[in-house]
Amino acid sequence: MATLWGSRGGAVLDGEGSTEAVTSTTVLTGAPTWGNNARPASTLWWDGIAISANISDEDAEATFIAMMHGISSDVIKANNDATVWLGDGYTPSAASAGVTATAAGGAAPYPMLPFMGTLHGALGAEISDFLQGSESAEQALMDVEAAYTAAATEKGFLK
Amino acid sequence: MKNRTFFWFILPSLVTMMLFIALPIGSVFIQSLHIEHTTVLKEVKNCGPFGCKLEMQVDVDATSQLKKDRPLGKFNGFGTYKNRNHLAVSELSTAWTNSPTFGVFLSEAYNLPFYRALAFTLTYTFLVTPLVVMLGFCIALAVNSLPKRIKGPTIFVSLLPMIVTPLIGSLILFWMIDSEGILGASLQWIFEDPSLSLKASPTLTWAMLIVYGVWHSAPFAFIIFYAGLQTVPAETIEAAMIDGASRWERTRYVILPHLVPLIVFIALIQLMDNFRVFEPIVGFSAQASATSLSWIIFNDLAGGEGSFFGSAGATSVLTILGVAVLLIPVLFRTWRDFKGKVV
Repeated sequence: MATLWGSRGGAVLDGEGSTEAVTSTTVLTGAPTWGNNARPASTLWWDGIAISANISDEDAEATFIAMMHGISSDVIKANNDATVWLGDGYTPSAASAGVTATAAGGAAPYPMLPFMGTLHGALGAEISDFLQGSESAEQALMDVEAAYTAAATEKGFLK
Repeated sequence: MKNRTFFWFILPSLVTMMLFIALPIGSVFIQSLHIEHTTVLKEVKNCGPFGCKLEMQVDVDATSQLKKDRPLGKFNGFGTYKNRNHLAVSELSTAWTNSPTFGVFLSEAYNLPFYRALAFTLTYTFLVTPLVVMLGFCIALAVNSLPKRIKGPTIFVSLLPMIVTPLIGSLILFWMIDSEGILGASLQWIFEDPSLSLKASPTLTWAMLIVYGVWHSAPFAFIIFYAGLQTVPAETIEAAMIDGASRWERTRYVILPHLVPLIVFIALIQLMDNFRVFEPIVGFSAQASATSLSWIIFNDLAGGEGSFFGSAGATSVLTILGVAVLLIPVLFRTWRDFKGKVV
């Protein structure tokens, strides 16, 4: 059993970078859940589009039209297996079964919040003791909380 | 020298020192007393591919206006120094009252990032410095007794570890001790333990970093001792030989006392150098097992999760204080020698 990024599913099953022994025996499914199947223990990330504020209005309009065409259901249908689409007209494949199940299970979108970077930093610094086996998970999480509180206070996210 | 003349004589260096040493340290200290402004939050409706909901978001305009008005940030006094990620004053006092034994207290302290880094930094400094002095002295003695023709090439080869950029040197050693590298694979074969990994064990990582530190710095001590050996008066050595002193006795009672000022000098430079150990930790990717004060500063400034200027400033000031404490014995000795000469 392995936990992978949802977008890696295609490469595992496509028979190009993989072997017959792997593709015929591998099944992708949703992320593990917590709280009695209440919620997948995962977050959803997706690619988005953005238009720069300092380009001319005509360019912005043209960009917007091109991008909306790029995610229209016709394009999605024509390129169904190129990626895991979030728009209408997408039919999930074996490669995206895991992502679709996770999304359907009610996984939260990844919080695009300014203090997530600070939380990542605290997690990265303090979780290694647990991964090395020198500390309990509870202690490691308490350390993460303490490290984050100090860092977020300095960043102005906490008072 | 008249006071007036003396003043004009040292003015240029005084100005330069103010500009390039005192002012930057002062600015770092001021920065360490500040934290970022409290972010202004506002409630907005956020719509994504999975529905809309109300959430609190940072009011970017209001927050950047705050930053523009007072770019230094919010005054925090010594709050950053005392918080959990630095001196951890309240955490330490809680641990002190709650720990049944001193050992438990130590392990609680070791769980705090600053003290963990300090533990490695001090261990590294106090092991590498004497080892470098001893190894450098031995290499210098050995090279000095070589025949003239092969002396030059030997000196050049002995200096190579110092010439290699620390980051590259540590990276090379890091690959060698990889389980597929020449040293790692040999160790696995010798101990017949295929799961043996120098990188996975904190103790072995410390040992590895210290070995690297000695390897890297020994040439510095060697070249200075070698230069010092050329100044040992031949008459004294000859006299000692006539008196029947063995090679060991000549080294111990003639050469070593002659080189004492150099030992003090090397110890001083090495204490400062080793206290700010940094590159090998990055080169060995050892931060899970060993961090140093300099590594914490680097991580605060460029760890990839935004910059913590207040934290970096606080750790920098604490590092300067640490170096000052380390150097007091050596400086005291120099001052005493100097005073002795005047009298």
